[in-house]
Amino acid sequence: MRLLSATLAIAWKDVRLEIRSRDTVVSALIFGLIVVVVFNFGLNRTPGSLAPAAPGLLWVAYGFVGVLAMNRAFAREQEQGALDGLLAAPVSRDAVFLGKMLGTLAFMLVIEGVLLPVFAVMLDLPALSPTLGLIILLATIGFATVGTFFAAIAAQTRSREILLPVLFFPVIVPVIIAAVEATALVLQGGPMQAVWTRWLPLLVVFDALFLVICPWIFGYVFEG
Amino acid sequence: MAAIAGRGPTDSPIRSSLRDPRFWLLVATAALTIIDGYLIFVVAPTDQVLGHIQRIFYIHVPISILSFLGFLVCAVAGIGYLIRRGEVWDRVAHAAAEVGVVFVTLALVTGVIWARPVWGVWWTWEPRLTTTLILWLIYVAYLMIRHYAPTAQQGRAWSAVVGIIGFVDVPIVYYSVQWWRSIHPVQVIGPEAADDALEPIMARILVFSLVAALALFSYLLLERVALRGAEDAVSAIRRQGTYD
Amino acid sequence: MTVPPSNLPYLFAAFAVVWAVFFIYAAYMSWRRQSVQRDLQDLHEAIESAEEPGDGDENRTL
Repeated sequence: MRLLSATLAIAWKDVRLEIRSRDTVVSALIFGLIVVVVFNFGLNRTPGSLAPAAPGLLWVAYGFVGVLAMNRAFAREQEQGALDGLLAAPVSRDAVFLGKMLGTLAFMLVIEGVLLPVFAVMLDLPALSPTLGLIILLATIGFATVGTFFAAIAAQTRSREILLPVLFFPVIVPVIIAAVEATALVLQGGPMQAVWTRWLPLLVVFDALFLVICPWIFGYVFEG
Repeated sequence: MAAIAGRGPTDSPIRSSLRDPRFWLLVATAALTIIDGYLIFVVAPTDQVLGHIQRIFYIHVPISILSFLGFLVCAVAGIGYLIRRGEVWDRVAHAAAEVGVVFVTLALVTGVIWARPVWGVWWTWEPRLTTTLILWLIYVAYLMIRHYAPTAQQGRAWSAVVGIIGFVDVPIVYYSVQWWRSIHPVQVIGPEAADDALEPIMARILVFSLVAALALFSYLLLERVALRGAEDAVSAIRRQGTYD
Repeated sequence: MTVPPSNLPYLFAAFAVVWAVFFIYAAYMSWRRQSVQRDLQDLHEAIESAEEPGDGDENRTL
């Protein structure tokens, strides 16, 4: 119970900070939009819609925006020495990890939720599907878990902007694959058996594995 | 040869190298490699479909397998370091990752050289090649992270956790890439090798190559651990010297 | 036998690269370890001479 309340307190602190300043949400949204515009020039060489590339585009944008969000989550703590205070607080490291992870998750889900209809319009997609929502939720849990862990490491170095993506993207490859393939199946509107028997279970296994491992080794990130 | 094994200040170089297990491992590795070269180039039959290029297979497969062994050792030694805190655990983990990256780089290079004549392209997103590339990226990041850490102790702990996460990720990456490729099959231009059509003599030479590669891997690992040990000793003295 | 003749250079390239990389890596490590060990010996000697009483060079940098 103490773990839960401490976790929620840390997550709520981050959410409130973001609501008050709104600086990251706005820039992350604009950045997500820019990704689509830039990729349009890279991929849309023949006249027509970008729809075949849409699942990949969606998840590339979500991945980039996610890295932005995760870097913020710990950079903000680092800037004014707040991290030391957080670590000195009488709560377990599990609560710190889960709180930061939940805060990042909420932040990313909001951005993804706002970007989705924009993408649906620009790429001409039937994006309003509960299955797609489930895919986004599960993939974002994977993003936030691994990303929060690596952001905690990267934030303690001088080159966090480059270190986080270098650590994050190779490890997150299975999530990207599963999310892109499942999204493609949903957007095609064809048979969705592979979504339920293959890609969603893959996401669940990835999430469960890293939700166990990351809190377990999180404490070692802050020693020395 | 004596130059390669360690030597004490008062020992004759030849006598001390004869006592060093690494010296004998090096001799064994050299002998096995020469025999292996003879087996691969002279004894092994030429593949009916692929021609001589198929002989790459006898080094490509063993070095791929041993790179996995390197990453396994790295993860186990990382867990050992986090639990027992001996610096030797960290040295073994670091050495295993570095040797593993050398092996996985060579697996990629030989894979690319294989792909050109057999499949008609330098690079193809074939599942095993793709998984190997992602492994390479993960463990290059592992080797980087140590240099970014503000203190040596943090470097050791960060390396250990990244090594554990990387290794847990390996099977998931492999299966996801496998499933992904089964939906979008690779465009193969040249003739395709059937994996199960291995002649018994080919299988035996492959096993021999694996043993030779294992000897080489063990030698490089021990040499790297010893080098790290010597480097640590020097930097420990230097640190004390400046604080005095 | 339908062996394409352009095959052999690739095979030799692969083996040349693999053996060269392994040899350079092993040689580099042994060279580096020798130089580190020489450093270590120099440091030990420096410490010993610094510890001798009345030597007057306690402050020599290591």
